[in-house]
Amino acid sequence: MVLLETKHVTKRFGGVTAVKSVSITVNQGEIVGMIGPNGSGKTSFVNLLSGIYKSDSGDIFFEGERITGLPSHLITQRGIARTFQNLRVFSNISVLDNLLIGRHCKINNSLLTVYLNPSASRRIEKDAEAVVRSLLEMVNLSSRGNDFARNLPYGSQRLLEICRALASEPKLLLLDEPCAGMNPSEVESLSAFLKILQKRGTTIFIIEHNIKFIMSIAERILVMNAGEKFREGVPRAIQNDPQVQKIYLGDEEES
Amino acid sequence: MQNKRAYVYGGLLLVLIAVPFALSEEPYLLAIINFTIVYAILCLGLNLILGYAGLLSLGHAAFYGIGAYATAILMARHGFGFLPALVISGLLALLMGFVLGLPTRKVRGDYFCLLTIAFGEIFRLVSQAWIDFTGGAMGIVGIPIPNVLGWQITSETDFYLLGMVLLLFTYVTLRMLIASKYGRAFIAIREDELAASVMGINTSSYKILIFSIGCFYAGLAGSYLAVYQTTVTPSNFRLEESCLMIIMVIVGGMGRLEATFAGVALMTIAIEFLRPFAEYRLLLIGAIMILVLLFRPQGVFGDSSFRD
Repeated sequence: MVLLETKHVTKRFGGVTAVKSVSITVNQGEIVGMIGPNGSGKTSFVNLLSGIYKSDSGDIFFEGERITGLPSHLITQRGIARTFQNLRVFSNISVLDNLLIGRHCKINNSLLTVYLNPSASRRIEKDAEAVVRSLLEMVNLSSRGNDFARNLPYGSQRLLEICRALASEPKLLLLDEPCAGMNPSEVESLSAFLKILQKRGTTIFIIEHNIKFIMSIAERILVMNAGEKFREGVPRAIQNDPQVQKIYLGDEEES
Repeated sequence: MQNKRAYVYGGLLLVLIAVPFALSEEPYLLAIINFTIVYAILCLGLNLILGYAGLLSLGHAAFYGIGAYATAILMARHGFGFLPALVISGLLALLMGFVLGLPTRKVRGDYFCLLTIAFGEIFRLVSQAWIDFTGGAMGIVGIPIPNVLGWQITSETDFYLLGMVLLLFTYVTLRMLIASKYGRAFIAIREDELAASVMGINTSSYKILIFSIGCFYAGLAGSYLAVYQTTVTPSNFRLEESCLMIIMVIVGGMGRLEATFAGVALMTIAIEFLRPFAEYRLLLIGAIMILVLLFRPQGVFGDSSFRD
């Protein structure tokens, strides 16, 4: 079953076309990787999917419904959550509060309940806390719940950001370079964690430069180059594709 | 644990109730305390706007004024009782806060601040110039004695108790809001608006919401001021008032409600002690603010996590 589909999505910034008529599909339960040289439009593409950018043309469908141009908070409410390339945890607040903010749209509280039924409001918030605590357990950070996010080691902050996205119970998780700045053992545990998530039914779309990581985890890989979808295939085929090797190692038209 | 807490709160409440009776021979001191209560209500609402959502509003005095004029006009001219006038004043300030909050959708940061200054000045000029409606520079006089469910509020002690009820209402309702997902959403917007929107938070609506709610309390404070002073004049709501509220919130500590009490108390004491310095007073208050910002940027009792 197709979960996400883009049709000829294009984004221009002035004279530069960051994303040029990209059409992809992501199936339910898949882990899809996206690679490509710097500036090839990967992050711009994820920004389009998550509603941070509005596309100039083309369409995006999620669960068969058109989500093109929706603001990012509505896209999250529909079940697409993401992390950022340059780590955007809320560093001045606690780990638990970070996760509770991530769970925002699943917390079934309203202003009326807050003011007119304080005990129900407290119960709803308590329940949410229990849910996010179980998320923390999954990544072995339960003991750090009350610490400020900025005091966690870098790799744990990356995990926290993923958990924050998971707190909204997304159907599709978009990860923008999750391995950046992680050491090899952290990469390994991330890989294991993502496989658990996949087993639980989460579809994952990953942008990554760490080729070894992405080749081991993704079932299908998309290669971006200069804003266009350059190749698509299983990891082995991509790895052995001389054209892909060429754009990665650089040649005259790339530099 | 639960019991211990109850005792502490109970004790605190008893002390607060005892204060006016202990000070019944000191009406001046009690009057200062009553004004401190007004500022505490104003600054709690402002801390929500500034400290939690990070919106700098230099027009808070205008919402205070809207509440005060609404109560003055309703009670002095239209025979309203205090309670309905109080509720209407709060809701009117909330409505005006909503209208002024609408531009936060497009206008951010410093530009929004300019907008609030302009709103404050427009309010002051209108209140001075629209003599038929607001009484001009002379203001509105002869606001009747408030009566709350048969309780005639006349003495300083009565006003202290009324003010405390309003302050308690303000604090408790703000606490309830902040302890919910709404409070966390406000903090998320302050910390990183883009990330907040990706968490499913409708950032533009929430900014309007927080601004309106903060202004509601300013309306309540204004309503109290009207019946307490029995007159309302434009000079109560100048830009200096808005600045003083900002200073109180910053000195106390942004993003923590309890710190606001400390900020208001400290600045009130400073103002009283600096009275002999007459026109140099504002200079010295400015110096206090700069010292606080240099040595404790998160405020005297602020959250050490707050480092913006």
